[in-house]
Amino acid sequence: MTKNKSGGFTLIEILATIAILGIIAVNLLYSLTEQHRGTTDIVNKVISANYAKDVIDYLKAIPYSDVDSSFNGVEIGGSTENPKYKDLPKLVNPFERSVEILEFKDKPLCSGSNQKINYKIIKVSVKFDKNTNSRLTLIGTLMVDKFTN
Amino acid sequence: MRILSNKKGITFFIVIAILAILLIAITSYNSMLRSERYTMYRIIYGDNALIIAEAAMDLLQRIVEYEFALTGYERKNTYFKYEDLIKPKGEFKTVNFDSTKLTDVISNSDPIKALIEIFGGSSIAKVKKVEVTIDEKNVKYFGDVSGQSPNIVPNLHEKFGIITYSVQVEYYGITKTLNISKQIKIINVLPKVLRHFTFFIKNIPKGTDLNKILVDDSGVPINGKPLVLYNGEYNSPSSLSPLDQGMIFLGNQPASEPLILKMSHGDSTSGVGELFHLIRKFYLDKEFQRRYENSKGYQVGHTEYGVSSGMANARYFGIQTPKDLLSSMLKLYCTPAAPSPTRILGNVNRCYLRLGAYQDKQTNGTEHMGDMTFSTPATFTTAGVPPITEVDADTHGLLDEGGKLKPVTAEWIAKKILPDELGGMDLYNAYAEFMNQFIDYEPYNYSMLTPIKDKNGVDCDPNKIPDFKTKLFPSGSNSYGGNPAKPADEEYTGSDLRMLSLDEKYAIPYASYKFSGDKEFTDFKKLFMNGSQTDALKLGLATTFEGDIRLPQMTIQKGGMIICKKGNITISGDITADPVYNQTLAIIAMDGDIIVDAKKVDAILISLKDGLKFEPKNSLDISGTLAATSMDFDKLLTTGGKISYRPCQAVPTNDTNFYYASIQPDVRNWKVILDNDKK
Repeated sequence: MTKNKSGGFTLIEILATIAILGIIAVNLLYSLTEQHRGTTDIVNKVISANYAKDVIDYLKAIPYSDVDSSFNGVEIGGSTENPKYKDLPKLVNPFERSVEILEFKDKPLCSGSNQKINYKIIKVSVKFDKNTNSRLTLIGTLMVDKFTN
Repeated sequence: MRILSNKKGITFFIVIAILAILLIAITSYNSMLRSERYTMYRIIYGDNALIIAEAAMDLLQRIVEYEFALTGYERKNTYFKYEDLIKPKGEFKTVNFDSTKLTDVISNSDPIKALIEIFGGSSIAKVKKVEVTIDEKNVKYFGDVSGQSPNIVPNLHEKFGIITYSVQVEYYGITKTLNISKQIKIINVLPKVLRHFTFFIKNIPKGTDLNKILVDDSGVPINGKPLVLYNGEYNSPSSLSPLDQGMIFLGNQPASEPLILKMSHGDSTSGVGELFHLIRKFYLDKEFQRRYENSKGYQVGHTEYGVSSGMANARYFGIQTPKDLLSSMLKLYCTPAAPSPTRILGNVNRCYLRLGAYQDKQTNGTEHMGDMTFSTPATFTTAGVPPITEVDADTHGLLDEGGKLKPVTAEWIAKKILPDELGGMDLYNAYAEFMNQFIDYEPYNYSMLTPIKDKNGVDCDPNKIPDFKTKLFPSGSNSYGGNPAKPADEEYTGSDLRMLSLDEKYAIPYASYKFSGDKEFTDFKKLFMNGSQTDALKLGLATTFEGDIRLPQMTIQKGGMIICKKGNITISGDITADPVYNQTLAIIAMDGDIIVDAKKVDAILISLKDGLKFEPKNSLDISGTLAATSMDFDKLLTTGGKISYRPCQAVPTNDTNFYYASIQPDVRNWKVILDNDKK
């Protein structure tokens, strides 16, 4: 008995060990999962940024006068594709891209300026999680036409 | 017991070690993932910063382009000093645009502020610094590198170089700098040489009869229509400078075959006849040499003097007022090194000169018209430097102490060109008095082309200079001074227009925009005729076409050059200079015709090869210059017309008002050659 007591682990010891290991493992797994989720998130953000930049590059190659609100709209990867962007790489699920073109005419260059310009702002947002706005990449660019004074 | 106890300890230690290793591995893995995420965020932030920088760069370039556009004529530059930009070789230094102002205007511009809001606001993203520089190390001068026409002295103000833009943007602490370089040109937008001329014909073939038009006894043309050349007014209220008057060049006749050009003055249908002899170069008067062999080069100026057929009718041969006397001059090119090819006999100091009108019926010179056949060509030299008369009291004496006719006086000239039967000494005296009026009123000879200036460099009114005559006449060691007045325009020093070769080196280096031809004229209009006034041309630089081009009706609000490298230019609509802007447009055909099919053209027309063609249905009316290598005079005189010189086009090369700085489009043409394509 004594030999047995001395040569093995008691159930309590084993349970305690398992509990400690479990706690550690859960925490580690949680940490790993979080890290993985963060990495996935940033990878998706990189992909989103690329999807957004694709649109910006595409529109900036078009003459200023031809870029108009007909390019506005929402694309949903794998289902809705905007024919205006047929030459762009296809979006894949779950990415969703929306484009908004804001046009300004004869606007002062800055407050109090006599110089007036025409310009357009291209606003592109790409989501990869429809349920939350935190999974949103929002970028934009300018198209400057000319001074109009 | 101890052994067993030790076994448990070892087991525990092993478990702890495994856990530690696991913990370390996972922590390291986490750290690595975090680091990668951080790196990826930096990449994203850097990319976003670049996107903002690109937008700011786009706006910056527009601002600078607009700023450069102001160098055309407005001169209201904000971010650099225009004067710094156009400094000549040796004085030009690196031009740094005002970085503080540019950074301020970019970062506070509404478009950039709106863009930054999209990226999260000004607390996250901002434009830190904007710089624009033209480094003197990257600037070259056209005169040094472009192989200018050999007879044109390079303009050292004209240059090209690299302009560098730099935009620095910060996004979430990540700073990105975007740099872009472009080529710029800084040029004078008026043709270098020919803008000084009313009428320039480089080659007139031997045997060409320029005197195509016959007139009746009243001076009314019987056939053909004259070309009236109006060179400007000497006593114009706007300027007293003779440089404001156009010149006429009819070149390339050999001395042995003087080109006799019969002209009349006045712009009415009928005119008063004059006689002009234009010869290729001076030749010596043997009698003069014999008489005055020790004269050390008495020479007669090339400039305007001669005989008016109306001289007998008025006090001084019909000249009523100084303005009338001096209101127009036929000026011909000359430098000391290359004497004028032209000797003119005839009073050309009139407002209007009419080419090719003469009367075939011989007259006695008192009927205000016709070919003065009694006038024999004189044979004195025409080096053009010394004056033709002396200014002291003895000048008006006809004879020297030896009883010989004084050389190089107005009287002497009269003796040479007027036969005795017209009046003898009385006539010569009258003629001398008549000629001396010119000397009194104009900066004579080369001085005429080099206005006297006061200590501040301002042109003087000759009539208000007490010692004007003294200043006019050089003083020094030779016969009429060892310091002859300087040539008219040092741009031509050592050159002779007859030797002028006009090729693409002349104009093409300045071209800022290139078009294929008429099919791209729509693009031309988009760029330069895009204002609310549909026919308003706002050029301000040089453009080239490499194909036929048809110019529509245009109103010039900003001048420049339109060059057709290959093909014809058809002017199908009136080209009018907007009087508000007073700009000059040069239309240059380098390898084709200029076909004028319009009623009025306010421009400098230069045809470097074949010449100009005229549509007979329209009489030519040019306000500017007409210059050609050769010309069909038969056709010209069936059409007739008028060329009026525009003084505003005779600006000196260093006149800052006619320089334009332009940013050049990127002409790099990248081509990828795959290995498979290589042979």
